[in-house]
Amino acid sequence: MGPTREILWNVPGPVRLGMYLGLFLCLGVTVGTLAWRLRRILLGRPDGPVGGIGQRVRELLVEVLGRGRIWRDPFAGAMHGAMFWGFLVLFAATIADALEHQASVRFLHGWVYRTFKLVVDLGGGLFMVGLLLALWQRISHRRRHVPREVTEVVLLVFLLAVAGTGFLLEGARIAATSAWEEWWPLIGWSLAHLFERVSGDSLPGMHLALWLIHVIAVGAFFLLIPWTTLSHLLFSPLNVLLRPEGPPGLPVTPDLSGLERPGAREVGELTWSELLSLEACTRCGRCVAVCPATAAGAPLSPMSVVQTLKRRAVWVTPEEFWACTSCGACAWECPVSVDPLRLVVELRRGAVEGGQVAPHVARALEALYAHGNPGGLPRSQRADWCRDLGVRLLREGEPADILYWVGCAGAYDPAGQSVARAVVSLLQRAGVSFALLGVRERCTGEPARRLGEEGCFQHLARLNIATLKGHAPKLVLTHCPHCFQVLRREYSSLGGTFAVVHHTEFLARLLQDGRLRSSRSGVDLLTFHDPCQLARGNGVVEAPRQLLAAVPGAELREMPRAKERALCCGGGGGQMWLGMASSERISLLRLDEAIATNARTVATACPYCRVMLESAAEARGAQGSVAVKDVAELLVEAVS
Amino acid sequence: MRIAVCLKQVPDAASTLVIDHATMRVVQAEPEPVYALNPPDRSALEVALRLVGRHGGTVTAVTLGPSESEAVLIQALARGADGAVHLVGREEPDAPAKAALLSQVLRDLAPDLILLGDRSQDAGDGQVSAWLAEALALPLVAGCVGVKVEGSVVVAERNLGRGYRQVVTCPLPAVVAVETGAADPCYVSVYARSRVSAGRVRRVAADLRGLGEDDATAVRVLGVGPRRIRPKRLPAPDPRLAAADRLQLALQGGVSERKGRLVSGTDSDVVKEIVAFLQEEGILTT
Repeated sequence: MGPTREILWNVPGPVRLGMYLGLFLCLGVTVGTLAWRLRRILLGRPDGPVGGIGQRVRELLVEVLGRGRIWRDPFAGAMHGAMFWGFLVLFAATIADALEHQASVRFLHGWVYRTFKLVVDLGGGLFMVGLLLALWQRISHRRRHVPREVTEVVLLVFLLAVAGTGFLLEGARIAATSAWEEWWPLIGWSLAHLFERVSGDSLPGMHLALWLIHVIAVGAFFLLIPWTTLSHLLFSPLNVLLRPEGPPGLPVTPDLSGLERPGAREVGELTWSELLSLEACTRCGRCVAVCPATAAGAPLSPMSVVQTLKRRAVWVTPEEFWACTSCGACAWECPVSVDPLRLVVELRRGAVEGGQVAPHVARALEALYAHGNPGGLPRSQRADWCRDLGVRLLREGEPADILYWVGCAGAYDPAGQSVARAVVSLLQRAGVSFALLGVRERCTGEPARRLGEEGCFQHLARLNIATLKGHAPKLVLTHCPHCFQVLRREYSSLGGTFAVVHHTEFLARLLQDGRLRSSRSGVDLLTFHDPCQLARGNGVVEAPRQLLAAVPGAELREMPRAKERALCCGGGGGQMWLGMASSERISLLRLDEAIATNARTVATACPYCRVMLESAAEARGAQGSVAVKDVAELLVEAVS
Repeated sequence: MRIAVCLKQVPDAASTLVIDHATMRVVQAEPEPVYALNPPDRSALEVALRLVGRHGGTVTAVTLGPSESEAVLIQALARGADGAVHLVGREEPDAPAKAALLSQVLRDLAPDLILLGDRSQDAGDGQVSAWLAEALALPLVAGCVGVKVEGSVVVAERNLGRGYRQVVTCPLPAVVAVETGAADPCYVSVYARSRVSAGRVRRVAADLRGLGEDDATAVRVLGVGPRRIRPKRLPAPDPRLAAADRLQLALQGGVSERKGRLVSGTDSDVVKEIVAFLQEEGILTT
């Protein structure tokens, strides 16, 4: 037998029994409360299927044990990592101690004991470092997005006290038993010197008092789990494991043929998956840091939407949920897979079903239903833009290899038409055989869905799916990321699965195959604004950059927030029709980022972004110095 | 309180409209026709539902038209109407015949208040309300932009144009025709419309022959043409003029003092003076 220690040294038998009873009681109460919470979650509405469990477990392990999304913010990653690994070590040590004590498995002696003590001591230290970092960010407010919450501060101080009493306890034991050769619990051993001046007789009493405080604090820790951010120990991993299928920001598709009314007008009308995500939120504020509406001073904060719903007392105000641009940055950023965008869509659905829609939004929705476009322009004029371009318009039932889906912006909006003409010109130059739906194309329903009009979305989706299926296209090509997202990702739940490609991907392929050759251009410095639905929604970030690299003379200067981290242009989520002041301010924020790169051309790949940034340039009086163009428009200049 | 609302389905104003010279009607040149609920009728429905919401009672929506016009009744039911009657008829008769057909249904419903739009977006002669009041022998208040009910009296705010309003009262039952501005219509979701059972609509055949008057086309259309807009050069309007006058200056090329003459006195005196005026001006020739 080498060095070891008696577990629960100096603790009288009845107190030991009391400790076991008390801790198990606390644990029981906590497990019961958490089970009740889980049951309440399961009472939610049905959600999409949860498949691919192997992949999900792998993702969970990466998020929890590896360097998952939390490390995108290095400070948060380090802070959480310290707390997480430290806590895990302390937790494992407690289990080991209990095993040694109760199950009479004697393994804590000799070098195992020394290593054990050292690791536990360092683990505790790591835990405290994490806690101090967390405390610093909550109190100093230097990291602006982390909310200053009194409850969080109190909780962190409490946890520091739990860990601190543990170290003092260790020190008191070493001092009381004069085990000065036990240097390996480094921190505990150092603290033991604090007790050097204390008389030897009172040391055991002091140790017992510290021990009692520590044990009671641990019991309180158990009891606090369900009622504080500590509940994320259970709910956050569960939410990462069971998160909805598909990319973040994808609204749930309710079965409207059933009796269920779409949307939520009370928390009980959310799906189980959405209810679970409310419990998973840790108020870390990362969504707030990236939300464009928050940055533009709108009353919306994704975190407060989640927290308001979680508290179940008050309802989210319309000013909040109508300010969302559905850019999906919040959901993309959330380290525990909470999807505030999904909740915003549920809230909007609730408002729409209750008829609480601003008049201009109502007009856009009615136009979508009646005319198949949000502008209320006649369907008969949908194909006017391509009348003189010599394109093939599909007749009913005619098969098509490549179907060019133009979208409403491409069909009606002058700026969008310019993009569509550029795409047509490039396809013709490359000798691609393609065809258009002409007047038989309708809006994909994307604005309706983001505005919460699920019935209108599903109506348009069914019509479009039937139309598309009639032509059995091998490939659907579109220049609009919103159409792209819906055709590719959102029609499948309604029975329409198509191979869909964004024009940047398709044109990049044509360039690679040598079917398009660029020769000249008038651009030099340019920057690229990633459309949300393209970059975050579908991970298409390289194709547009490849296209820009092919433009002779063009030098790409990236904005600080690029690719999946790009700031929204302010035009998504139906903001084109909501007409909120915050949406315009977002476009100015983004334009200023673009101007700061000194680029003379802002390239983008979305007709909405193009319109938003162009009008922002006009508002800044910069339309002479900054041109906003779609990559297709730049490419068409370069190849002609 | 029982309220009946007459609704009409009209071609959507945003669709491309062309003249069918054979029938001398304006028709839609769309891949599929797009219809809407006549905007002032929609406001009438909204006024009805808000009155019932305040005073209690029921709202019954009535429409006259071909089978596809049932959509406006579905919309009304989804918005909260309690019942719906569809007078199914293919061709569109003139205003007196429409009123006669509607009055048959409305007599059975015996409502305290009949609300409808002042004029339709397509035919636009604005006569149905008057003919309907005549057929039912009820008072008519037309051109309303605000409707309240106080006891057994309707208090209506009428639009006199140029920003003037007139407040009138009228005992119930009555026919009240409203303009689009009478109420902001509430959005009715596609889902809500899809949940309405078509069985809730009572269908009645609209039989013109049953009316005993075969002069259903007393008004004949002689010609249809596009509105002619001629561009013209304008002097800058006098900024001291009122906004309404400046608009009128731009639209009509000039502002002139109204030469209108106000007549007053007893009803029969007033009528005599008006008839004399019309004869003077050569408008009335008997």
